[in-house]
Amino acid sequence: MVAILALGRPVLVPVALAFYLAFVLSPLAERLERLGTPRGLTLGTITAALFSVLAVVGSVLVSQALELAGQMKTYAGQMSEKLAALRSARGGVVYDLGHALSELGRGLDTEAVKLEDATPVRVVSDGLSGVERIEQSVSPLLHPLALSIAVLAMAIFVLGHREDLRGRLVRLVGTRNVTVTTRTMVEAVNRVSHFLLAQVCVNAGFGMVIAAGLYFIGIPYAVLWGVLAALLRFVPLVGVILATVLPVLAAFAIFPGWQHVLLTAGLFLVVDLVTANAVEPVVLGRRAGVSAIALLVSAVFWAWLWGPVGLVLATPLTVCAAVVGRHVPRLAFLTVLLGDEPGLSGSVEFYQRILAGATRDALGMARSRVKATSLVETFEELVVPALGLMALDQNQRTIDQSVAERVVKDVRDIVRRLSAQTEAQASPSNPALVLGVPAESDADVLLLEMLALTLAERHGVLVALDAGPRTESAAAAIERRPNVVCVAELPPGGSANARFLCRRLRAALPDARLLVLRPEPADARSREAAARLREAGASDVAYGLGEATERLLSPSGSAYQGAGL
Amino acid sequence: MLVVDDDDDSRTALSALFEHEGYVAAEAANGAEAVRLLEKGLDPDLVLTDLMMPVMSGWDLCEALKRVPGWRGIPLIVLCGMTAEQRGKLQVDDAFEKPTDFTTLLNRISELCGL
Repeated sequence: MVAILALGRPVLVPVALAFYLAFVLSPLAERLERLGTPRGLTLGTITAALFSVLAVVGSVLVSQALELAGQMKTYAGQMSEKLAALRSARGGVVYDLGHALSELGRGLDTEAVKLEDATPVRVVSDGLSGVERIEQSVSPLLHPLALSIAVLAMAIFVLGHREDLRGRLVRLVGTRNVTVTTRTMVEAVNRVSHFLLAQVCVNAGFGMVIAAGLYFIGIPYAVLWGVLAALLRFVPLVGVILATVLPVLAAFAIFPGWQHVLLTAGLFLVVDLVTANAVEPVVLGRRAGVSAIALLVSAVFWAWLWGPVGLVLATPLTVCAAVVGRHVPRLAFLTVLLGDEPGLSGSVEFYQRILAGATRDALGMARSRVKATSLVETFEELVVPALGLMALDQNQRTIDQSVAERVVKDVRDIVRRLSAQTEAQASPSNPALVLGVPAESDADVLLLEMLALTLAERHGVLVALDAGPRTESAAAAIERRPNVVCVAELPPGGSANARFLCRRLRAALPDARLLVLRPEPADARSREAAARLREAGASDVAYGLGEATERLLSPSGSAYQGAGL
Repeated sequence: MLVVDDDDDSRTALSALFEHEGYVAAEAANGAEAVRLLEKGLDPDLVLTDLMMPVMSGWDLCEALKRVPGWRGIPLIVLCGMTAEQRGKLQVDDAFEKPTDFTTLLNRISELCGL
């Protein structure tokens, strides 16, 4: 694949640039067509506008670049004088550094020493005619010009045939589910288009502000530097730094003192900070959906493969790949590799850290989550799903009993530390009392502990039994004659134990309220399990701690108030 | 409940009797078939199994059930004579010699199901 990209560079680079341009222009084309403009006129207008902008900007750029080239000798002289003046300030850091570097250079450059012994050469005319000379000097310009025209023509063609190309792409992905494929492709193309157009606008705005700022500072060729800044801003991470160097050097060469140099550097710094932190989040959304490391790697990869053009195309290509990965299931790995979403979901990361023995990290995660949300949400989104993952691993025999016991112990420790952090509001006058019965394991007891803390925040009190054989648990619960019982069972796995407890408790305590807590997503299977639990005698089934708390303290459960165990 | 027996006649007869008593019975011809059903999400209140079966024996089925925490809570009755030591080793809730007294078996089943 890499070999194809490298070998096909002469063909693939113009094609990539053309598609990039077509992506950028497609929102404009669609808007014009939505207003009723015929496709031909739309393409004509866009082409004319594109060529006009290129002609105007190009002519200004060429004139400024030629002028700069003419002045280069003067600027180089001024710069040498300024550097000489700096060097003459003996004893300074700059002098010492410069001296050390020149000594080092002299030592390394052995070829330079041999120059004295070099044989003199004579320059002989190549005998070219005037026309040939013009051809020789113009030909380097012809290739980029021809390439630009080819890219523009291809982009306009792509723009004109975008539905056809989209159709072919849908066919390539698969025609089995055309509606879904079409919808996802349209969404992906639209997202990439809007992102790229917004990026072009932001960078163009950046270039304009820089050009205006440089003009007011008094730096010559402000338009040239502005355009260069806009173009280089497409280069991830180092683009703006590169764009800053030349105007700063110009300021250094032209103006006496450091004021203009500092103003120029400051202008780039401020405008880039404002663009990156205030403008881009608003215009591009909070993020491009691509991680910084992916951008960096992508920039290095494409620069190595396609040179400077690859560097400019790195961001759009990475964004395209990430968006396509988000919409095409078979390419989902691209989103995982390039996207800026965390590698693991919160609960998976939490569980993974506990498994790895990094309990302190897991506690830190849980504490941050409590601060950002609440204790109940932290339990429901982080801790309980992590216990579910543990149970799943146990069922699949990925972890053994001893590991599972350590995970439960560590999670219990974290739960207790979190609860110590958020003191429960005690209301001993008339608390709602609930008897918690674990269906089987210590993990079920831990579920009840979390429910007790959740209830305590709402002035409820839950007293949990220890884990044990179900016949003993049922006997212990019946002995206490509770009015409200909550049987906790951690999925996955069957609910044979919970059903057994419900039958026993219902038979012995016909008037008691029996709630079963089984934290799992409410789907067809869980609904079926809930139906069987109700059949076994459960009054209600809750799928989460918050839901269980609500059910236990709801007005219909007002009978719980003051209920004894 | 899940009835596991390689003898089609006894399995069908047992299932019919249980259904007559108000139970819902699922059937498996051997241990492997029973495990497949459980893996697919069958959630029985009790497993009733023979021991001598092809493909996967009742012994192996008992071990498999006790190895997976999600299945560990399912009560297990073996329809074959077992010593107390064997029952303890396999964590079997009860064992009945064939031919089985159906009333005694039913009483034990309702007890294990919490009825």
